[in-house]
Amino acid sequence: MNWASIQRMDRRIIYAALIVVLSFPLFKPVGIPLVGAEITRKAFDFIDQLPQGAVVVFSTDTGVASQGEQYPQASVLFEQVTRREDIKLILITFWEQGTIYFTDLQKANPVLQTRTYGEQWVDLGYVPGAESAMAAVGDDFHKVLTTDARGNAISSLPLMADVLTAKDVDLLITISAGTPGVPEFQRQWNARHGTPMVAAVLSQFATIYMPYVNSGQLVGLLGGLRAAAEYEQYLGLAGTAGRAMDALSLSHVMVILFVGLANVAHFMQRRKAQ
Amino acid sequence: MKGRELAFVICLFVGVTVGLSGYISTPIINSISSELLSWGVVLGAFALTLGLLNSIRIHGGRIARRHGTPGDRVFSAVLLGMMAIATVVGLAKGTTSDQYQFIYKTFLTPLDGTIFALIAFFIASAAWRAFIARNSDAAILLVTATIVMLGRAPIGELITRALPEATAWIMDIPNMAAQRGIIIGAALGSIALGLRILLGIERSYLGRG
Repeated sequence: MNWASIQRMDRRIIYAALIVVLSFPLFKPVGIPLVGAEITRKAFDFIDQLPQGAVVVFSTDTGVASQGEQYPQASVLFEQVTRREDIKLILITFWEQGTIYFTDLQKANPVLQTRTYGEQWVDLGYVPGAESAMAAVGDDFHKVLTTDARGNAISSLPLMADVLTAKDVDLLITISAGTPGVPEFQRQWNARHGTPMVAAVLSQFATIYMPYVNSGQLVGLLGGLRAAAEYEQYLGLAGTAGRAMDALSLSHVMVILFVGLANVAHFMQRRKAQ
Repeated sequence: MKGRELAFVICLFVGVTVGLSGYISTPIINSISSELLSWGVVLGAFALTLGLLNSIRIHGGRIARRHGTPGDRVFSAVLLGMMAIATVVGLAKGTTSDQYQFIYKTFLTPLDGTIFALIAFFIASAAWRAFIARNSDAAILLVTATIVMLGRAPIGELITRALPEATAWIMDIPNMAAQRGIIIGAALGSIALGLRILLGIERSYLGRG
């Protein structure tokens, strides 16, 4: 076998193989069973056990680039908090593209239309200013935000009458793709006001934020699309994340096979040279 | 007082006041700190406007003065055109309107999604080129990556329960230790940089001159 030519293989062959492997299970699901991770379960259990009338801030600090991985995460978390009618929901974002998630979530799950705006939920929209804005909002909602996303005065919203600082928030959920995101919220809300946090992050950032879960700074973590698929199982949903899991599995196997082949070619070439 | 000195005094005042509010809780410090943080939100909004004007200046200048290749000028024109359309539609119809959503869904989402999705192809190609066990360090990296990749995907559990268990151990022990070291190191670096700025040793943020 010509191992040298394998080592010099055109990368477009890898690209083509990856397209096939990613596309195939989307059309014909394989149905590989999925076992839930503990850090995802912690998030689910914490939200499930929130006290009656809890105030939840739902912050979509992400953009459309990461929608493929983070919209399913936002969708399952939104589904869980809106299943309980007693939970008071505050939508906010510190990313300019974050508001697009609110629109999509409400279109896909129009449950909020049946709830009283201002009493059961509010939309505070986009707040510019990154970490200093997070700190300012956490210190005093009413001082920084005079109106909500619809132009109503914050002081006129009954829900906000009891929410003055981040101390009054029972849970912060952040769908985070970068900065400002998890560390900034941890510094400005969790450390200063003791606000419990659940974060949903891209899979490549999951390893970075795992120490936050072990230290108790995060009560739970959703890492990547896999966590969204696990969450769909907990909620009894058949969503997009679950369907994508087969593609994830097969693509990982494909990359490992290619890496194995590259190593065999490398050692055969080296043996030949010796 | 010259501009640079004034900027340094403002930085010192803001840094010390906001920093103190984290350690000392007195009404006056809390009040000033809260006010300064609110100004941060206003400055953030100004920064967006500044970014918009800067983009118009750079790309408008490129088109007017015929800088760069013809392709560059086309891209600049597309950028300015889309910016104008999004601004007009956003101001006229609102950012939650169907028209504004159409712009997002039709142009921005597929473009951003495509660029982000390309990472999968680059990772696959890079793994093929780089994950070669040329020495013992590379071999450790290769074995660890293989275990974690399989353990993090549902197929790992199907192959053997040992794979997700080994992945959990790698994530909880060596990864956690390394990540904690990085986080603590970065935090100490931030404190050191903050002190350098407050003491006037680090002044690069003031620009040249």
